[in-house]
Amino acid sequence: MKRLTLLLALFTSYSVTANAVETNITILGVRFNNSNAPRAQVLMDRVATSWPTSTGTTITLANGGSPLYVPTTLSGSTEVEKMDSAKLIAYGLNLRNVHAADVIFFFTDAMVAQDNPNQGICGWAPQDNWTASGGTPPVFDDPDSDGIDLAGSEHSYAAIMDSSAACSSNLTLSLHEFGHLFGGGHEDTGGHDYLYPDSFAYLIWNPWPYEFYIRSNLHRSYWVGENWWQYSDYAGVADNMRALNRTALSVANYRALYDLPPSPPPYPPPPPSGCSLSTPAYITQTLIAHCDPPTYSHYFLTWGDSCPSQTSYYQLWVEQPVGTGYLPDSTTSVPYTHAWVSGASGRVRVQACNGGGCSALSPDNVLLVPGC
Amino acid sequence: MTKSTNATFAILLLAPLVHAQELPELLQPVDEGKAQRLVQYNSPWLQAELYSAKRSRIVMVNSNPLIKDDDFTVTLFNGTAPLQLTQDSIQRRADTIAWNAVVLVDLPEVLRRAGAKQTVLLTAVAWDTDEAGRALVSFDNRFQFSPNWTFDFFDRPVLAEGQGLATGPPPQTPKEIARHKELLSLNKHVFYSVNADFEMLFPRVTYRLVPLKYTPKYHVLFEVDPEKIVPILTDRSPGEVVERTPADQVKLSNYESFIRSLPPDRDVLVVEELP
Repeated sequence: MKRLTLLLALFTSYSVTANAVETNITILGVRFNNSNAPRAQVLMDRVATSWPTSTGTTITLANGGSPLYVPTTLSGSTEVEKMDSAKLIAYGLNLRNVHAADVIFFFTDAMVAQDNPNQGICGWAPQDNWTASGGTPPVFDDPDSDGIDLAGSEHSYAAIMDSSAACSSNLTLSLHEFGHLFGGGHEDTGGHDYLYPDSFAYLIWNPWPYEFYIRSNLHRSYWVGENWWQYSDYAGVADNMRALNRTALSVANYRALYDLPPSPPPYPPPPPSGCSLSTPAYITQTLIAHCDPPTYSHYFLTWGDSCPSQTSYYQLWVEQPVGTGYLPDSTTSVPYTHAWVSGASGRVRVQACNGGGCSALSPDNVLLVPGC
Repeated sequence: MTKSTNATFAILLLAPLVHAQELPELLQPVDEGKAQRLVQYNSPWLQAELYSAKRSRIVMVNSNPLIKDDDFTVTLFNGTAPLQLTQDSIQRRADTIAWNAVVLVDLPEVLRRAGAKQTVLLTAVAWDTDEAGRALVSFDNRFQFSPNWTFDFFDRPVLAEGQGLATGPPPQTPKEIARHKELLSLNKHVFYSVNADFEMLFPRVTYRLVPLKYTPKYHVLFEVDPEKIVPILTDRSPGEVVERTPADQVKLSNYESFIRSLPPDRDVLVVEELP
């Protein structure tokens, strides 16, 4: 049983800041084992440096502009399996909230196509929003009073890319996948120039052969499929400026800015207040939801500590499946944590620790039962 | 046109050429013996990387112009004229530099009048080294706690001598302490690797600069053979049927056969210099 199937995450009490409409798209790069770090950086930089300054929306690369390394190998081999695995890990680590990331780029090694395991595939950016069939008037699904449509914010925010050599010839891979997140599609065999009309991301046949090679302040291009996804404002061309203005504004608001977590307590800790390091007890569990995210049941755990002033951190111990013995898991500085379980049921116990050592394990435990 | 106008025109044409001779060169040669050893050390990864190459050479990169924002030249292969590059825009971050360069080439009049310019994005990534000579990408090695924190014999956190108040709490858990010690022991930003694609228009040729996977201080530069570009699928939309031409299918099969014929990539260390 993979230990990853029970995730314990540290959550502090983030609170959503009431914000006006954001005009910046924050992209977080996340790379996993076997990805190519320099090439992942190239793919991120291509998007950031190609973005037009005239749209009114800006792009910021999170994590200091570089992809965040998560030392985990994604499960599965297809683009769908790896995307599911990557999203689950990002969710467990709370990455979108911590980095206020509107969009995530996942970087991995080689992938094969879901419906043809013999065929390699370089990327995927599922877009379930703005997908009305051709002919539908191009309107947003559910715009708010600011014209912002957040319907896709929880499922159409991520792209996964192969950073290995075979895909390196596709210089525009990250631009291509980013274009999908704005609703841009491939050629439509039904006679339409686009797949996702509600995004306003119209697909234009290449009217000029050099856009990709020569960028000017008059003509810039994002590439989708064999054609150019253009955002030119010159007359006679379908209006992708709207995609780059209005759709981009919605994407920029996928994740609001969050308050930073409260500062940790000053060091060294305050002098003893008459008590000594104590063994935690009275662990409680609250089921938040089953299948949150899919295959996982989401719990919230709390425990009591009769002398918190002497505790630097809590070490969680997990036994999964039950009866196999407890192993150390994550740590937290607060007497609560979120936990996710799938596969087999698992038990959790806690000990309190400081620079002088750790307490015994809590006498009681909680049983987390997967129910998805 | 008067004589004096002609003279001015000639001087303007010559000026960039004279200037180019004084500029630093991005690509530095590596002697043949060392290049052979680098090829061996990075094989079979390098064989896969060079599948689409028409010709290649091992080079070092002089990253100084990227760090100092200087113009520079790029001499791709013997017999190719040096390209002169100047900065168009730059994103300088803690561990990376995205240097967007304009290549000073003559463009057709119609393009020049449209304000067109030929650009190349050079992405420089900093690398750290540890005591064993391993190379580690710097953006994976950022301090989570102030580097002013060190440890005494008993692993208790202490502030480095001469430092005043700590700039935050020290690492406390055994895992945090071990990681902080590891980071303190690294040599930071020892060198930069650079990725770039030089896409020339007249004639239409692409040259690719890639750091070697296991010795990223050194790079391979290769000219892409358009006939051998792998027609791998970019992605697909749900329900979309991808139909390949017979020629593309053959190309893909050839590539897959080639990859299968390679021995598994060896598990060697990523190092600054060859052992």
